[in-house]
Amino acid sequence: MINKNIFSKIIGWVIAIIFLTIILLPIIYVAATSLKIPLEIRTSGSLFPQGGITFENWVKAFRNVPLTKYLFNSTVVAISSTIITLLIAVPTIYTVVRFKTGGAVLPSLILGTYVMPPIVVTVPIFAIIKTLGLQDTLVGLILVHSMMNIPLAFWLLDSYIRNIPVELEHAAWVDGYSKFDTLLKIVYPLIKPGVLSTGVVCLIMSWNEFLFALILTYSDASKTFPIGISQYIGEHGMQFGEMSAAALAGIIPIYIVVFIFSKNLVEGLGRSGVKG
Amino acid sequence: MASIELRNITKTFGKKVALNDVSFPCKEGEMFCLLGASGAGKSTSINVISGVVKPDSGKVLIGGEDYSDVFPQDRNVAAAFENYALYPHMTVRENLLFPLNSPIRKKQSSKAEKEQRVNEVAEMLGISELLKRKPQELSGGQKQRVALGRTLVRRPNAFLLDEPISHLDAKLRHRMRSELKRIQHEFGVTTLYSTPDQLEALSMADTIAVLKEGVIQQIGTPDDIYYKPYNIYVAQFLGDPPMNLLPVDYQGSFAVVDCDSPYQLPIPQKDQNLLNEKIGSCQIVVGVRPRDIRFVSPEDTNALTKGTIKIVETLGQTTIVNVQVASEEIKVKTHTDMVPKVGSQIGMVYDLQNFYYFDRETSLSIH
Repeated sequence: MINKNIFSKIIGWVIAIIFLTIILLPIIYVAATSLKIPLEIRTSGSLFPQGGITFENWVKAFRNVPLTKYLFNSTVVAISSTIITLLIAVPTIYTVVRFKTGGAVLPSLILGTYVMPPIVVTVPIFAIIKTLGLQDTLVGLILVHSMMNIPLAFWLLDSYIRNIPVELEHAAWVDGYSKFDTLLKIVYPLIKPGVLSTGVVCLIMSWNEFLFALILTYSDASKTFPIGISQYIGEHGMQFGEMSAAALAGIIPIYIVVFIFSKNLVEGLGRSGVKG
Repeated sequence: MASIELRNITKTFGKKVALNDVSFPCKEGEMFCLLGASGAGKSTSINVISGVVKPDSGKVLIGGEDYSDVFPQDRNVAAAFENYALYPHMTVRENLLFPLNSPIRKKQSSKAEKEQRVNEVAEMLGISELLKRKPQELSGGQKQRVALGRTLVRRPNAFLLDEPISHLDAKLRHRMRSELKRIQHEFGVTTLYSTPDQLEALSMADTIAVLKEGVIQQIGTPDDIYYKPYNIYVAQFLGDPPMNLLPVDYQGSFAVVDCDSPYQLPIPQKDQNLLNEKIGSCQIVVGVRPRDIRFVSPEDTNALTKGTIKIVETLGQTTIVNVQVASEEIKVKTHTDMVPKVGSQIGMVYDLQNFYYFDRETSLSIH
């Protein structure tokens, strides 16, 4: 019995390590590359630095490209768009689930926009943003990102709201609360883990978003991190070392966020999987 | 405190008719019971009164005023739900305070007054030690009492209790039955509650409305409902075990029971007069409550019919006996010490004074 337990534990660990290696290898590679001497990157094929460790790439990455500004822009866009997404998605999904707002049409329309490839709408969106005079501004990008994430948030939040026994809301009405108060006082506290994990997913989506950022931002004042990264590909070839350092600098904040909310996130995504 | 009235309420869910032209008045300060099997429309009726469910047609009157289009939060009724509906993210104390802190009542009393009110109610229901706990740390009975407490903390127009004690264990249910009655007396508030249990209805209610598939069968006092059932459904629903129904052919001073081996039932004079006057066809149904049948020896000349003992269920002092009479089974409720053996032959005497008569076609009572 004990042997069997140890055996299955070992198997579990082996599988976990294999998985982790596959997932982490590119990140380890990037981390290692960012610490290599520039010459070595081009000549040596080894994973880990052979000719000593240097922070030269890091210094250059921040000096040659306004990376701090891009990271700041990305942070502003990701946080603002996530807040807007949640402010719109939570009440919307609530009324759709509970009061059948929009009948069968609205939910399928919202999900329809989710499955559509974003490239299809780049031209109209560019036109709209330009008409609004918001091209090359953070506000424009924030609006686009928040709209882009609403279907996703909608879908993730759906099962959370369905899982709340409707009698709780009825009880709150009878206890003297309006529908909106009930949403705030009863429904929101109960779906808070779901809202948090949905928020994290939206944050990641916005942080990584490339397509809209590419067509809507062109000055340093509004470029986001994924666009900034591409600037290390210059006339004189690709600056692998600097790019690796920059990439790592961009990954770290989002990893910290995910780490902080990891318990919520796993719970949340797991639950929306078994749609109750 | 106020009276409550439903007028011609109809409600359908998809194709299912939950309430079909339901009307009933519930007087001020009265204990009114909605009795019916599951799916009869009890919860829907209560939800229509609280405003949680909007009826397709009909009116809801509270205190004589039309409340049909008033939002639930403005109706000032207090409801306890069948599944308790305690707010899981709040402690028991917060649950009890929740109605008092609602936007419309927030300013009606000070914080200290609210706390005091909660403590009083908790004391009365014996849940004072549970105030700091969360609902998931409570047993079923405790949850039920908290749900009741949440309705009692305020002074509503009416209490609406949806199967308030049906999920408790037998002992606690018995205690809560008298407790509820006492609370209702103390508060004097109009109380409307639903139950599938006829005993709960008969023991607690001032007025009972029997519902079947969304249609009111009869409204009356417990005595009315029990002794003057309007139709076969009500007659069978009240009383445990249910009333025996014998299809008979009425022939004046006696009636012949319609079965494999027909036997005669003498019909008392006063009933003859009634039947002669009221019935159109001689094909009627006679109802006999199980407690109105007595066992005698099979040779006894008084025995109306004979049968074989099939099943014996002993319930302490009383026993329910199923007797096979020809192709029919008849239930008899008797004293445990008078029960014959399974398989033995037995004679039966019916208490002729307590016969019920029903029209075979309409199943309506003849009285």
